[in-house]
Amino acid sequence: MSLSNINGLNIDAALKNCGSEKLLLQMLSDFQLSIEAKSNEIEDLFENKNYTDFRIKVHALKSTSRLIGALKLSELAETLEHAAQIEDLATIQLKTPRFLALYRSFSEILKDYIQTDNSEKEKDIISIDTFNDLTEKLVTGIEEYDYTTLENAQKELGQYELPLDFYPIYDKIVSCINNVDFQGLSDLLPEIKVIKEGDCK
Amino acid sequence: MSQPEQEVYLIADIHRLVIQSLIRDFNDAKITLKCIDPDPEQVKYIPDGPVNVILSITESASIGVLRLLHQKVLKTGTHLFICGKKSGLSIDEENLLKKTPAAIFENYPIDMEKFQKMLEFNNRLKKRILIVDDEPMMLKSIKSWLQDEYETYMVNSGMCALDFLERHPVDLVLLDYEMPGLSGPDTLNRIRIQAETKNIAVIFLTAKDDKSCVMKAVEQKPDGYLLKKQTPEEIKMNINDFFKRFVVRV
Repeated sequence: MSLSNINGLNIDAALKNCGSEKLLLQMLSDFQLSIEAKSNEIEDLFENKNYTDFRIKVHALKSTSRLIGALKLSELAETLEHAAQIEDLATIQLKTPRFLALYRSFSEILKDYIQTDNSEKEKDIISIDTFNDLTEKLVTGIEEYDYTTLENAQKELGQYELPLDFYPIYDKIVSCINNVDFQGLSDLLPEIKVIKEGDCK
Repeated sequence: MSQPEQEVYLIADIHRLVIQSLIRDFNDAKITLKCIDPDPEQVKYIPDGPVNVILSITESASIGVLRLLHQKVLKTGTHLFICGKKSGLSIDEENLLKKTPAAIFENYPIDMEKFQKMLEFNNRLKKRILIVDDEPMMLKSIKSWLQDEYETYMVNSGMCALDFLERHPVDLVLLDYEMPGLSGPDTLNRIRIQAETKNIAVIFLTAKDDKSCVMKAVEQKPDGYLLKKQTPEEIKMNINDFFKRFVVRV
């Protein structure tokens, strides 16, 4: 995938900010995948006039958009962060729709950069031993805050056809791992343990 | 796994009874001492780099020795331990010592348990860093910048950070400032009031660069304040420098 010319991104700045092309590609994917949820969240906070949380969310986006070289978006996020800080409601009202439109435009621009593990090839059905081993690793990874173990276990699980009962929870696990959400993962622990103990079909 | 042999340079007049007693304590703790006379000509042969050096200042701290050690600490990451009371030092010597990061043990016999904990920290090849940020992209980026040189962990909230620190020792927390729920400053407060975590080094790593936030953060006496807009290389260099100069608190 060529990085030389992506609409709306300053690739030189992005490479400098990320430090490597490999990390930048991963960040472009992460950024794209989070646009829908985060833009909706910011929009809700804007509509509900919750400017404290609105400020925190645009502040975070200021850094991530800068990281991938979306400098105009980053500047706009900074403007909104400052406006929320000083309760400049006129600026928030005026610039938030433009900000959200620009943010959401990256969904289309970056769609080719999404990194997924979804290969078309047929997957083997996971054996009970492998399933138990990998879910045990998930449990350990969650309890020990060990992201590498979690990420590896999840990737390995993704290579197999899993028990049907496990798919709903598996999707939640993937989402929590992508978001480094250990609280969310801890909340899933009881369900993982129940399935691991052998009720899955 | 057996402990690697621990080697420490001791700059002291070994004929003094108190130093002979110190040497016995180190032998009992299975720490190998290399004794050096308090003479600048001899001190300069201590290798550069993250070696551990004890300086007995009671009678042995000439300005020449102190100058050499000051350079070694600041430029090469030598870990310096000062033993004895400063009362015999000249004003120049005392001022130089104030500018030199060092662990101070004023009384003999020295607290060997404390000393060994410090030594363990200094000798750890990969220091452990907990990265706290509500934004997963920032967590993954910072981890990727640091993971070759450090053992890195990530959590996405202040509450998770506190839970993590209750169970896992780390050498440094890199803490975001602006987070939903427990903010960075609130998290730092909670770290500082818990007996088990109060000594952990905490550096803010944040995109907040306005004066009021920086001032507010500095009031909380973090161990540093880094900005996310620095390049990965700059951030890494700042953290490397921090560990060179940091005197672990135990």
